[in-house]
Amino acid sequence: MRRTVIKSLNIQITTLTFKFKDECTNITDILKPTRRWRAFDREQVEKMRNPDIVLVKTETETVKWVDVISTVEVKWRDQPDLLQKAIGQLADIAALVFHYQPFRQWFPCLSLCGASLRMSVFTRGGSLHTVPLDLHKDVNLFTEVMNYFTQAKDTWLGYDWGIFRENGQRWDPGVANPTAAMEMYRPIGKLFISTGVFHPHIQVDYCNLLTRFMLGLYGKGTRVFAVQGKSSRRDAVIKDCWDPSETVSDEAVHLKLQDPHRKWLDPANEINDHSERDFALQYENSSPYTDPWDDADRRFLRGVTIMEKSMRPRDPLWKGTTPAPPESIRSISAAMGYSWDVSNGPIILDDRHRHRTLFRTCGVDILWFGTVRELFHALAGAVVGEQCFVSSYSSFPMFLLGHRNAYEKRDILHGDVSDGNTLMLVDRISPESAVPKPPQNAPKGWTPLRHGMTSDWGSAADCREEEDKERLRRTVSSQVLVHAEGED
Amino acid sequence: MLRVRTEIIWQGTLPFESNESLKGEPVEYHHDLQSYFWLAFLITCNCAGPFNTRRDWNKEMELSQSGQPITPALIDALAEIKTQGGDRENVALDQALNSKEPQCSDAFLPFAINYQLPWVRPGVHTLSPGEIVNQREHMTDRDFRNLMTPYFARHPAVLEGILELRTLFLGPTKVHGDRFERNHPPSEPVTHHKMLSILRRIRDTIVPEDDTYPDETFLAKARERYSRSLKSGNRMPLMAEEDEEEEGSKKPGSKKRASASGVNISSKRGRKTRGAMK
Repeated sequence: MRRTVIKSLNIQITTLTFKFKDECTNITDILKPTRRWRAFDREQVEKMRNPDIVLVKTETETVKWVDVISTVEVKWRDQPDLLQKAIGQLADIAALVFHYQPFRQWFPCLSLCGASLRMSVFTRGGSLHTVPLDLHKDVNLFTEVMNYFTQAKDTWLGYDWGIFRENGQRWDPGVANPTAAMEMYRPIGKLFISTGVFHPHIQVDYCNLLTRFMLGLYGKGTRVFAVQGKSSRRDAVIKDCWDPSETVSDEAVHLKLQDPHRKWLDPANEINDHSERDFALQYENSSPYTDPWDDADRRFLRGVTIMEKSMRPRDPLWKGTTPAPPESIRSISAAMGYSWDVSNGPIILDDRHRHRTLFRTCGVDILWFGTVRELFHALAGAVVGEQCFVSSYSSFPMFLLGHRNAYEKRDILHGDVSDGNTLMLVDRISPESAVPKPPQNAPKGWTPLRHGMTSDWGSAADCREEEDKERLRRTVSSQVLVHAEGED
Repeated sequence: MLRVRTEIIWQGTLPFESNESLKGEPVEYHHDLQSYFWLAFLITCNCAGPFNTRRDWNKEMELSQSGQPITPALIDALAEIKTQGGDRENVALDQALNSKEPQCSDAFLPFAINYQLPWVRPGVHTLSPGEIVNQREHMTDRDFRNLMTPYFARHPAVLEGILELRTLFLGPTKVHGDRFERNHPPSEPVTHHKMLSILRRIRDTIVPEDDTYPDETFLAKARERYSRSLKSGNRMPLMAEEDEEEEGSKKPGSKKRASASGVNISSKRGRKTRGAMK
């Protein structure tokens, strides 16, 4: 088994190296490497961690976290506690790299314990570690691995410049006439950056030594950016995350939330609660805003964030002739060297799927309320957002409802209310909209009254699906942490 | 040999989860509403002013333990120093002890805050769901009111409204022989209409002249803080524990290391794992 995995690793890396060489048309590219491995000794990166060996661009002098391409942790001997320590240190470094490099999707790095070289690949949503290759027995492969790191394309090492390239973000790459349909976005700020939770993996079915104490980053690795459309000049929000499945995602929930046909109710019986908007207008002292929910098609629910577009980033490591498949941990892992043949070993990771969603509604956290009145105004607005679904049913004639309880009448249940998911609507994402300027000669009791809304429907449940409802239920999951205290 | 130990990992947005959800009962629509209520209450406990002004619990409890009487003015001053910066060792005490505005004497009247209810503070994540439910259900009216910051508590509309919401979700308070006041669950689930009418009543009955908008100096500083957060992407969730005091010098690595050793998942991070960890 072990031999097969090494072989698989060997083949993958060899293939990539060949591919690299094929693509290098200019011989000077090979002669002048643009990256180099540097022994780091006691030097620290920005006074935080000191990796043993670090891969940076040749011209880099003082190494900052933004410069770190990869690292190697070196231990004197190949034994479980030292390996575990090395992987823990790598995970720690990966978290810092992800924090300082928002465009980084995965972080491949190495541990060298005695003569055993292992590759670890951390993503924002999970990690994998290969079985070792022996330095003394396979010098060629060792050289190839090291060369791969110095010579591979940026995208192969986990850089996705798509979000933050100078010319911004492009949606939708699949369209027939790209220039007409594509909108570009330039970043204007970061609303939330998660590095993923440093977390011991759940591992029950032990197969090889390494998977027994799998450590890594774990979570959705959500990043939320404020952007501005280049042609529309409108502000928008881009959310990029690793979802636990292809079906549970912001996109899936918003398609349902924005589907007017999901209502089985006669529109005549519908309650349209506009109280918050009307209240703010009546006071004439709120900063004016365009009402994003006022649409003729009745697609948008008041108080619910509006998804404009969504995309699934493609796998940059894809080597086939067909269009690249959507990016997932599994696709990265397969390309980076781990064999996913189930008979070959246990599935060591949750597969996770990358999703990117664009929202046209911009918001600031509810904690940025300007007065007590505005806080309760915004809370009411966020609660209404859900009421659109419920109140319409409760206004339904009782003889039709019978004794079915409200639970069965729900369609979408958010299931995850928090301060970060409760926003106030603004036109632009800027310090001036987060902290509004009062109008000239404002009366003493003036207050801004921004409309509340509920965001982040990514883990909401469709109450027409029993499975979804069960997912929201709190489960006590016991987890096994394995502490290696020597080999058995 | 391998030693195996088992730990329990909790999922969800702990501080705001409904009591039913914390007990592992099936989630229903009104539990989301209850979460909004806890969110409202926890904002009134942890925000000491507008535009993300956070309460300085640590300093406040430290002073309280050293015998310093806690007054509304002191809580305000500590929060302002924590948010805007300044020499908090001296200024806070000076402001609290030497009344600059003798006309509003209420602000300098000490009052009793029950610091033995950690579920309302950052650090709530170290509690078990059962403990959170227990603390929520056994809070007296006085503790409930006194945990709110003076910024909110000075409005009778807020005090009454929040207590009314509590009754709505937990049922009316009943005094028993022992010192706890136990609640009885409401017989009918809370409707959106009911909750909205209370939230709107709070908003509508606050006296506008008592709920003034901050001055331009405060607004300018708040805009600076927002700019910084937009630049860094460091968003501090309401109930997350801070490990560094200065916003600028945040080191995510140290936090990661802390969370690696135990089951210390902050609200935002915990939230992201819901439904993901099976």
